[in-house]
Amino acid sequence: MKDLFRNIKTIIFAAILLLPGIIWYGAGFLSPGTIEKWDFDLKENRAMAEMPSSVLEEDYTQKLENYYNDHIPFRSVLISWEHKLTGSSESLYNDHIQGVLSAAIYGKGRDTSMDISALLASEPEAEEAFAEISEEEFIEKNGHRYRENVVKESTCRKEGEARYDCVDCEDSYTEPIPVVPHEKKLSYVQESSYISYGYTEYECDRCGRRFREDFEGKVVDNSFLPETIVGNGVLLGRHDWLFYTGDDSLAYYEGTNILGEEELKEYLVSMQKLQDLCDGRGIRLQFMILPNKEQIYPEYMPSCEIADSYKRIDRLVDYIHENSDMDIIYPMQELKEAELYWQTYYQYDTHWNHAGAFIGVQSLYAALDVETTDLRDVETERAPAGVRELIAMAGLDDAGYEPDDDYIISYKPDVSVMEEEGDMYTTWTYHAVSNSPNKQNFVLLGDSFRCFMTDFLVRDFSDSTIAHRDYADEVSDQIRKADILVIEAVERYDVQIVPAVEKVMEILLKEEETQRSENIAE
Amino acid sequence: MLFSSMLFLWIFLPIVLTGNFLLSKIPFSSQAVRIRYKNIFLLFCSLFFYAWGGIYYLFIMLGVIFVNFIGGIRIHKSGTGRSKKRVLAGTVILNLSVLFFFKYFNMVIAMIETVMALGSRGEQGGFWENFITLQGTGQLGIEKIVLPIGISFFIFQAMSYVIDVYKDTAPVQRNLFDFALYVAFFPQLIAGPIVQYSDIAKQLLERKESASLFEEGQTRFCYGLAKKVLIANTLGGVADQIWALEIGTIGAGIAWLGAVSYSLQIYYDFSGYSDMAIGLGKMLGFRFRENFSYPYISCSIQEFWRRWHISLSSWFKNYIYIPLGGNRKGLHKTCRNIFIVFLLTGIWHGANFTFIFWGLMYAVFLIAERLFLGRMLEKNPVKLLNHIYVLGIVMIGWIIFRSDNILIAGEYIGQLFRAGSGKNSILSYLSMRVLLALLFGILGSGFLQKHTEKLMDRLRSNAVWGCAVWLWQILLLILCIISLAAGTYNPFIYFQF
Repeated sequence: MKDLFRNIKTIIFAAILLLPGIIWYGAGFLSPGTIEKWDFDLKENRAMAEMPSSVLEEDYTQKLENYYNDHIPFRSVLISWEHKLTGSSESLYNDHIQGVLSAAIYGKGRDTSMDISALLASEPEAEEAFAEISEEEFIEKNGHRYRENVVKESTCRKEGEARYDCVDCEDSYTEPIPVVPHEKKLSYVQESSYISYGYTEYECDRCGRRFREDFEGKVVDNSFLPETIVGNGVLLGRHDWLFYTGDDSLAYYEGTNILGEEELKEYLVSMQKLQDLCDGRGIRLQFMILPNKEQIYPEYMPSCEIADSYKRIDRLVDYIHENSDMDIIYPMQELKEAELYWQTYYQYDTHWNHAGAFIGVQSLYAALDVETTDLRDVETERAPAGVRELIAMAGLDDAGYEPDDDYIISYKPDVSVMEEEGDMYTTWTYHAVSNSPNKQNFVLLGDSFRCFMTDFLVRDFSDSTIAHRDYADEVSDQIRKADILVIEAVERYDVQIVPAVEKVMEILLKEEETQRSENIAE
Repeated sequence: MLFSSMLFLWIFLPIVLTGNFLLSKIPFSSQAVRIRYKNIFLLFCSLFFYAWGGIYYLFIMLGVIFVNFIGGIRIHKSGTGRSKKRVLAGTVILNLSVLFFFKYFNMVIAMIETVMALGSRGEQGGFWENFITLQGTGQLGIEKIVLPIGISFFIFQAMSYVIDVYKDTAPVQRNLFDFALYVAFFPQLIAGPIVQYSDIAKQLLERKESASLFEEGQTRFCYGLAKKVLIANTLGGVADQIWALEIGTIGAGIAWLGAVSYSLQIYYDFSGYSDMAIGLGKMLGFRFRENFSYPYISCSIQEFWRRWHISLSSWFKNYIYIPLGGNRKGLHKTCRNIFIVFLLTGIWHGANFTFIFWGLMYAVFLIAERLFLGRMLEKNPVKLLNHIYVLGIVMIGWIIFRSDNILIAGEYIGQLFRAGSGKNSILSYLSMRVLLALLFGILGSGFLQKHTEKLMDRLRSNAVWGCAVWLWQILLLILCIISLAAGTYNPFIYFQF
């Protein structure tokens, strides 16, 4: 009996070491389709190690081991098990243990309500325009008697048009009809919580526009939460929000990387040179720095010590405004205000979502004097976000995280894109021709944040080029022909602005040189 | 190749165990013949195992094997005392030269460069700091030598053989393959235990494998792997994070967490590796001596060194301490001998002043215990104080051991006793995994075993308990495999685009 038990033990031990390989390679040999099911994509965003070609290669064994590690039998299954295990045990820790430890060490945290007065001050008041309806049949004016003929009815969103025809002669004039007031009906009351503002929502019966009033700030968890960084630089925030700490992002948030006078000057001088060059060419130059997610969502950040609340980019933008006429925007306020209606950044990614990008685009348009649109007037549908990279980067179990919000925004559906080169999200450069009435050539050089803006930009310019700044060379023709040139960078890549500026200058000056040499040749 | 890698667990180990098993089944052959084949097979596997880390290192090891093999035969042949001694001295010097060259050459170069910089510039400032932290200037332009893995272990093993042959405590080995297997046997090749030739000479020729020995081995291997992967690696991550901070600002809480984590890491890493080695040995029919015996429950430093890295302590005891006279030639010489042994122990651990300090610190406490402290500790009725004393010293020792240089170690020890918290929060370093590793780590370092000894004796014969223990061991093995597989997960950070 004892021997039998001993033999079973040994067989099971051997099976754990041998069977996975036998099943994997056996199945791979007999029916390759089977292992594909087990070998699912873990979204590592990298090329897996390849089998070294020759034994004589340097570090052959290391390369072979790397290859094996990337191709272990049941690798995806095992890793996803580990993620599940870690995810559930760590959420148990976060929910039940960390608070106890934190209270024991630092005392109990408090919940307070967020102060949102700064956001509400600039919240445009609900339009209360009332049309004055005349009871008189005729309007007597300058000796004429006019009768009102409505050419176009006004709506809650758009003015109408009325033509006044003289009943005695052929004289007539037109006047706009003011917008009619919305027919607001109470639709929803949201209590404020950790993850939502409190508000009362009204909906216009006529146009469907949503209004929110009586805002209350989110409840803010002030308990001590340490800066816990897991996996590849992922910071665990409150309420399952994840942040990225790479590229020294935390220093931007904590205000510990403020630029000195000399550095500020470097930015200014370099940007000014390009500005002068663009002015000479009639190119409208616009700089755009986008806030890091941490700046928009500090309520979900762990307990960080903010060394200086007048931070690096605030200072840079102020410095540029004070010392030049250049236009640079940093739409922090706009994105924070938008928070009253939409989530603007992904919960599990560092990027802004499509609502955030829309708000960003409108800030850009305001600076460029292009007509802006209120997102509340655009048909918008909430959709689960497909971008959840930080969960994978943290090595956590994806299944343990709730769906996140993104929006499908049907912006200007009447404008259609007629020609397209590249893909909005996956290629470094993208060029589109649309039937937008705005015939300006638009060029934007930026980082990954650009991808989320592209679909809006192409509907507002008949010729738009959106490219990663490192690939400016590939769109040099478009840059030279641009009417509007935008240089965009997310906050944590602000240092990329100067190289991008220099690159664009090089492209523009090269054209000058070519022309000069062509003239000489002629 | 590491034991705690998927390549070892799912490729190398199954091949070795299957090969060894099949060789036991060769029909129509005697046990002796099978062992001969097995030795050749295991030698081949061991050389492959070592060559995996770099083929050049294999040649170094083969050189050491050859020199000592010839040395052993020559010692055996030269009957007279004098020439015997000469051959022994020659072989030992050759061994030590190789060890010195690979292990201490970089350190000496850095020291020379620091002295040269002093001479050439005539500057005094920072000299001692540079000297003690071994920051060379690169002035000599000599490239750094990469240390072949496990060299301190296999050279000590090889030396034990020639000394045993010299002392006639072990027979001379005339079979090069068997001798090579003794030095290069993969279970103990990289991190010990340092097997003394006299312990294993017989097993190379006759050893008995059995199902029960295999079972013991597999249990031991699973526990060792779990100690390494689940506890040591987890706490090692914490210790690494803490040591990477600016030590001057960490504060007492984090400093203590770092010290406890590292103390547990080094114990579980090293003893886990030894457990795996002993387990693998048993699975292949070899019996190695124990290398650890719950050192953290010791009541004195002397007891600690009887329980910590036993194979190294015995090596120094047998080949240095006793030949120097041990404790039989008066108190003065005993203290001298302790000093020499622990100076060498420190040096053996690495080319840095931190290791020498670490060794000398133990020498001081061991001498103190021999002089007066030992008696006090023995008479002390509150044994808890003894534990606090031992753990305090050991932990401070590990801080010195872990720090890049002695100045950082000093700074770190200062933080342990600093009032107020530092810039970072201790909670940043905690997680469920870390808490569990700390809990199991502390309980499993001997305290639980010591207090449940009688209960365990009673349970040992209980079948249900036996089954539960086995399930626990299998669960640990599976958790280790999952954890190691997850270690290969390496997503690319794409945000740069």
